[in-house]
Amino acid sequence: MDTTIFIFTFVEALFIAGLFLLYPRIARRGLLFGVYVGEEQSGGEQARQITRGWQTGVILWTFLSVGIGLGLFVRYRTPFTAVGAPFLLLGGYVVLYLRAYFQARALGVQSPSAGVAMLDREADAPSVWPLIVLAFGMIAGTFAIAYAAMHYHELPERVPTHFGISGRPDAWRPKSFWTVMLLPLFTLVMGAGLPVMAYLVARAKRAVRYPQTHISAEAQRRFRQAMTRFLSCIAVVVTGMLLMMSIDSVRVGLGRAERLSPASMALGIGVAVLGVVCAIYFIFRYGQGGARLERAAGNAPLTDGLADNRHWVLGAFYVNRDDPSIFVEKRFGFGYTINFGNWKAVALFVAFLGTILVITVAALLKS
Amino acid sequence: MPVIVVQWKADEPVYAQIARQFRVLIVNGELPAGRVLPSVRSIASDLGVNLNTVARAYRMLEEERFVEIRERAGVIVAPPARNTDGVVVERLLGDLECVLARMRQAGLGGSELRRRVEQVLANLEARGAKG
Repeated sequence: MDTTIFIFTFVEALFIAGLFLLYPRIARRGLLFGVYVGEEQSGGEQARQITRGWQTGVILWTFLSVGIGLGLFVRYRTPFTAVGAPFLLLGGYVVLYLRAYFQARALGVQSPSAGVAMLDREADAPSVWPLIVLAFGMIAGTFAIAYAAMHYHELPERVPTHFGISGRPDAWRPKSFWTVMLLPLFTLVMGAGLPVMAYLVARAKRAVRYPQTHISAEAQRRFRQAMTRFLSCIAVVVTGMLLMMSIDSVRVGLGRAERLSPASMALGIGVAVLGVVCAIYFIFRYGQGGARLERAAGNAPLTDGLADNRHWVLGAFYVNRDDPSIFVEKRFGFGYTINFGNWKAVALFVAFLGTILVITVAALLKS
Repeated sequence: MPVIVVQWKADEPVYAQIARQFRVLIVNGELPAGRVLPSVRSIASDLGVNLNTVARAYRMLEEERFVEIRERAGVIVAPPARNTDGVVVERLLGDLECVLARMRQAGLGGSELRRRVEQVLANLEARGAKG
């Protein structure tokens, strides 16, 4: 069992390292490790030196941390060593990123470039997919809670709280509100939270190149549309999986079933496969923010938030109190982050993560 | 696709830059009468500026009758007025006089000034015919 976790972790580490190594190939032209250095400089010798330093660091650190993890695992054989390795790995990547970021800052464009607003009303267009998925998530979450509540009194004194890879329960705890309701509550939180995220991605801040604006605007429109649909699909599969698992754990508790149903297992595998396959597809099809579709305009300067070094802390946190945007495109990496200068964005972020944390901590303490 | 471009280092305030470019786009016919303009939030989000900055530009355009702000429909490009409003015309003539005086102070001589003004008028008429 521990060996399975370790192999999984090892493959995961190599996958993440591979993505980081290939990152310069999918990055938006003009950006270098969270700093806007201008389109010309991003292809220059100094930029290439910083990138080479990053790649060498990633290779060395990956082998070193996997080696340390493997050594500790062979010596102590505890799951902690297998789980600890990715943390070690990610900690090293953060240090490497910061090193590259501070090197890139020396090349940063000092004066902010122009701001460009598009008058196409696309940003105002309603996003249908997330709204349909939100309705599904709310119904699924409510159903999961109602189903668990209806059978609460019939459940025995000890209920299953954890299931192994085979789908059979491998941990039982005394019945309480939290042990029974943990999964149904998660179903509701994820069923509502993930579609809201997809909706916000559909309305995320746009940053285009100027001139040749239409090329980058179209690339970004396609990227955001694909991301919205992908997140909506993920929301359906995750919510479906949590709903099935909520029902199954109650059925196992009641003695009506011995293990999780094949549907739960299939959805669980589906989440993992969909996540990995789609991540690879998106990264190589679209690039950062649709960068691979806007190559024809790659020499035109970036504008707006992405080009403005004043509003980025450590190249990773966008802080602009004036900007009403909630989601903004990441400067380093793939996807979106929030505008930490907008209290609505911060409140939403804290509410979503806070709810998950409160439910988990309460369930751990009360059981 | 029409765009609004803001220069952060310009002396002209951002709201005035936005309003000025909308006027040109409307007169050019790139934004025809009846066209619904993007929301205040959409423009503010694209530019990363305060909502009030864009709202101020839209209010300015509404006062100048370039747009109409309707509660549900949003901001709509208005057609040129059918009847001349004497008070507005008098005020604008005052503005024009001021602009012409500034151009003269900037060194444009009599015939050159006349030629430039006629050129602007001809451009406006051509755009109007196109629109």
